[in-house]
Amino acid sequence: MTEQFPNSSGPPAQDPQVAAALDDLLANKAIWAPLDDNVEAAIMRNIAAEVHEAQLDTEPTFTKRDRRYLIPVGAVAGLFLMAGIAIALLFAGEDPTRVELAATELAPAASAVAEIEETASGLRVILEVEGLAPAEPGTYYQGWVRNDTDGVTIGTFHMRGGDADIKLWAGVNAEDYPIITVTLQEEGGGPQSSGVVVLKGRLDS
Amino acid sequence: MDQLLDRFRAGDPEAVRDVYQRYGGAVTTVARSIVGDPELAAEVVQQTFTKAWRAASSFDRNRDLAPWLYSIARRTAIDALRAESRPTRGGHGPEVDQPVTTLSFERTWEIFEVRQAVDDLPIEERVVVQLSHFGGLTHPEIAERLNIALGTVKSRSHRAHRRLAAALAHLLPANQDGLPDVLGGDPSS
Repeated sequence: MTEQFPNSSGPPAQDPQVAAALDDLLANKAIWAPLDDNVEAAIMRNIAAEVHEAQLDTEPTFTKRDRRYLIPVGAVAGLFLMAGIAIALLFAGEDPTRVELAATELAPAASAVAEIEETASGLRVILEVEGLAPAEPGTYYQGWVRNDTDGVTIGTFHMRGGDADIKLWAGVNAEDYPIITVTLQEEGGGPQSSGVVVLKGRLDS
Repeated sequence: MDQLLDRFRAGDPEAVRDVYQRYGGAVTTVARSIVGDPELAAEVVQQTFTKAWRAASSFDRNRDLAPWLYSIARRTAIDALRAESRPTRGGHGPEVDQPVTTLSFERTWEIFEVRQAVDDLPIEERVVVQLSHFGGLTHPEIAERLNIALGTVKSRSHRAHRRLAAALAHLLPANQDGLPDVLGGDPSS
């Protein structure tokens, strides 16, 4: 069976029966079911978990020859892991990390500070942007966290409301993606970065 | 909206949040209409938006997002209802899908549209309509509850009903001409 959507165009009615019909439509209690913030949070957690899982799935696999090196590499990695845990414990409970983003020559008047917080569902980034021109119609800005080989989007914004604090998010951790950039994108230009970087910063700088 | 669709199709999680803010109410209403139970409905809404995010890249941006989301929500709700209806739930026998009866595709789409029209109202008008239709309050009672003048309640109600009648005209009795007088007056005034 083909399911068809009823035609949603048509003139409004003029009839005393209209009020009663409208009353009938609005009498359904389900119409008034509240939007649940917990559901929104659960959706975002689900997505963060899947993003994280997908990133793990794309990590390189090792050949038999490579495995010879895995034990020493694993030992070194273990040391780094312990150091990482120690650092994490040292900084546990501290304020979010703040990173200054420098303007590129494409937006010399712009500046930004990124406040970065690691959460259970990924990175929460609040970008305080100043002096960045509103994106022209048909364009928008996009935030990214990157490493030397790839990047993950953390959200989009347009600055048409003036300087602002922009809340962004990514389901990755800051250690793997220590570079933050903002690019100017064209609508309909696809999901990849345009490469037109207007702001850039690094967590470990 | 175009930018939101681009972000959504790109898999941007923040775009899913925006889509939830825009359509979450309507999806919740469809879920509640089909499964009834609020907790199961919440699970359906959660699954709907997660599935939508997974399938976002296949969404045709030249089409309307609402019917696409609605179709996912309805299918997810019916699946949830079917899973809840399995007679061997918790037992050791084989699980057999049970046929489930629910509101028609057209009826739940109508409910989706009504909720969307309500959500599109300016907040001050939506509150008045909600208190009247869901809360069962008269205009004077709404005025007292909101601490605003009775005339303000009436004018907000008037505007809200005109907007709803226009948005939902295709669901209302055929008109002769012009906008309907759907106010009907306040029975208590």
